[in-house]
This record gives sequence, structure tokens and C-alpha cells, in this order.
Amino acid sequence: MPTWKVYFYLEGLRRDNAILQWLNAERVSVAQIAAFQDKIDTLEAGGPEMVPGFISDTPVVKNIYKMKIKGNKGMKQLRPMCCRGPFAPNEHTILIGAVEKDGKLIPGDVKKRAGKYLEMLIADPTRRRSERLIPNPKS
Amino acid sequence: MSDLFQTLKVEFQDEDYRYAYAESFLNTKIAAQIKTLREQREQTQAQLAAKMGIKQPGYRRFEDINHSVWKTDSLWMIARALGVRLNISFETFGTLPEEKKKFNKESLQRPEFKDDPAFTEHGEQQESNAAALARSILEQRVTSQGESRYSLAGPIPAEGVPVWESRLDLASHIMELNKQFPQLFKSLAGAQKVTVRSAPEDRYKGMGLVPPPSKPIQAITPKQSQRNVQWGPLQTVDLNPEGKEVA
Repeated sequence: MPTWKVYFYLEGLRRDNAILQWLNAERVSVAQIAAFQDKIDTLEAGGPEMVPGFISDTPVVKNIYKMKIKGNKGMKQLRPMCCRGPFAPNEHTILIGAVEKDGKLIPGDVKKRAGKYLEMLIADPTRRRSERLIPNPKS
Repeated sequence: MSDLFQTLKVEFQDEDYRYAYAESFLNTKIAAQIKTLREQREQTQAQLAAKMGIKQPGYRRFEDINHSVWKTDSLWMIARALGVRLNISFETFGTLPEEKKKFNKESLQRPEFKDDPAFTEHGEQQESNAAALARSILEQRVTSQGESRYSLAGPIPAEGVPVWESRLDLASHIMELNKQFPQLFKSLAGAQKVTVRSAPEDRYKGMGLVPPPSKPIQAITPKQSQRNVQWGPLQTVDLNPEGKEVA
């Protein structure tokens, strides 16, 4: 049984997984999604200290941390935003996706939106779900 | 984790997916083990970098899971600075979920050559004695989550010595044993981590006992724990297996 748990924020009225939607919209490759999923699985298995460099040590804005999934040449530099908790100390919730280009985060208002999503999540704890990024890549 | 195995069984049918997943895990494993071994040796990044003859900013990338261009030469330099050997092997994909299941700080720790029980005099006997001693002063209980926890098996104070003092001495002794034989507690009960925690103040009051000192447990040595020491208010301190305070 994993000690740590990672959740994804559910966006809008349809409560779609914000990160899955973003990965699809960005046309992120299967290889990068696999690397992202591996880091999430390792985080759940051993906690944040077992994935040094995955989550920023300091928040980018209040309570929001930047995740880093490095892409090789030609790949996107994925920088989703997450928060610790917010309902238990041994969990993280990934709130919104972003990419980094020339040192700048895209979309530009990603930090502000992440903060807003966190507020909405705290107000409605059902706005998150734990699931695989690719439940079945061949289906 | 068996759920993870079932999930990966499906996801790994995609060749690109399984190679990218395995590559990511390898990078994570190397970076996490370098960090773990450095911390086990109580060294800073700058100290280890100096041992390797490089600067700290150059070293820092080795402890980042996003570092993906590993050179065997660099890995050997790191191994030498840490006092361990480098081992590279090819594996099946089927062993990956099990490896991930056991992926924690304790499983990545290795003693330096000078502390390697295989090369110390009477190493096996020493470890066996330590295990016997640990068993004799620890008692096991199982939490509601099914985890095994160990606590000191009751105070064994000498005449006239406050109960908590003898417990602190035992606690520091356990920390020392764990430092000397990192795999000992893990092998005793499959323990994932060793934490020494002082009891809440209320418990001491309820038992009519003097609470322990304000200093963290690791700061207490048998020499210091004399009765003429002036104690401050109680603080609860969690320690990791290296005796460092957990934030």
C-alpha cells in the first residue's frame, strides 16, 4: 500500500482531469508521459525525497510548487504545478499543466490559475481524482 | 503495489512507453541513491564535490532525477568518493515493479568500504550480537494500518536513575547500532525507517516522572545524561536513521 498519494485536479463542469486534457492538447509524446507517470509512481512509492529535483523545494507562488519533467532535444519541457496536500500531509495534487520555453512558463498566468484551482479544491474536495495518465495506451 | 504490477503489465505492451518508463526510473534511482549515500555519510554536496575534484554546482546535477546523460567515468568518480563500487547490469522489465516496491532510502544505503561488515574483523559476529541486543531492548507492536513499529521494551533503570534517562541511553544506543549496521533493523522486521521519538510530556506527568530535556535526543550522550543537568521544557523530536532531525 503506497504511503504517498498523487491526485489530479478536475476542471470545469464536466470535471475532466486537467492534466490529461493538457497532455492531450499539447500532444505530449508517449515517452514523456511514461517518464511523467514513472516519477508519479516513484513519488507514491517512496515520497518526495526519493525523487530529488522532481518538485521544487520552494513554492513558485504561495503553496504552489513546480514539477519538472525534462524533455530531450525537440521535446517539450513539462512543468505542471502542484500543491502539497491540501487535505493530508502525505499527498500532492497536480493542479494545472504548463511548459517552459526560453525560461518562461506557458500559459503566462499559470501560477495565478494554479492558486485559484487550489482555492476551488479546498472549497470542494471532490474536485480531484487519482488515476493513470495512460490507463491503457493500446486501447 | 500488485495493482501497479497489473497496470504496468498493460502499459508496458507499448514498447516506447516501457523503455521511457524504465529510463526515467533508472535516472531517478541513480540520483536518489547518490543523494542517499551522501546523506548517509553526513557530507554536504560541496564536500563530496571536493572529493571528486569538482565544484558543487557541477556536482548538484548528479542528485537531480532529470539528469539523463550519465557517463561511466563520472559514475566511477562518484562511487570512489562514496567508498562503494559501481555495478551496471541489464534486467528484464518484469523485475521493475518489484524494484519500485522496495525503492526507499534504506534499500539504497550502503556502507563505505571501511565499514563493510564483509571486510571488518568478526563483522558477522558483531552484527549478530547487535541484532540480539536490539531484539532484547525493543518490543514489536502492529499498528492498525498493519505496519510494524518498535518501541523500547520498558525502562530498565539503574537504581536512582530517572526512568527517561535510561530510555534516552537506550535510544541513543539503538541509533548507534542502526548507524553501524544500516541493514540491521530492516532485516529484523522489514522496517522501512527507524525513528526515535520522545514520549509526549503528558505521559511523563501521568506516570509521575520527570520529562526529558529540551535537547534533541541525538544531542544526549550517556556522559551528558547525568542527574545534575538542568532540563528545560519538553520537545518532541523525530529523528531519521542517521540521527538527524526530521522536519
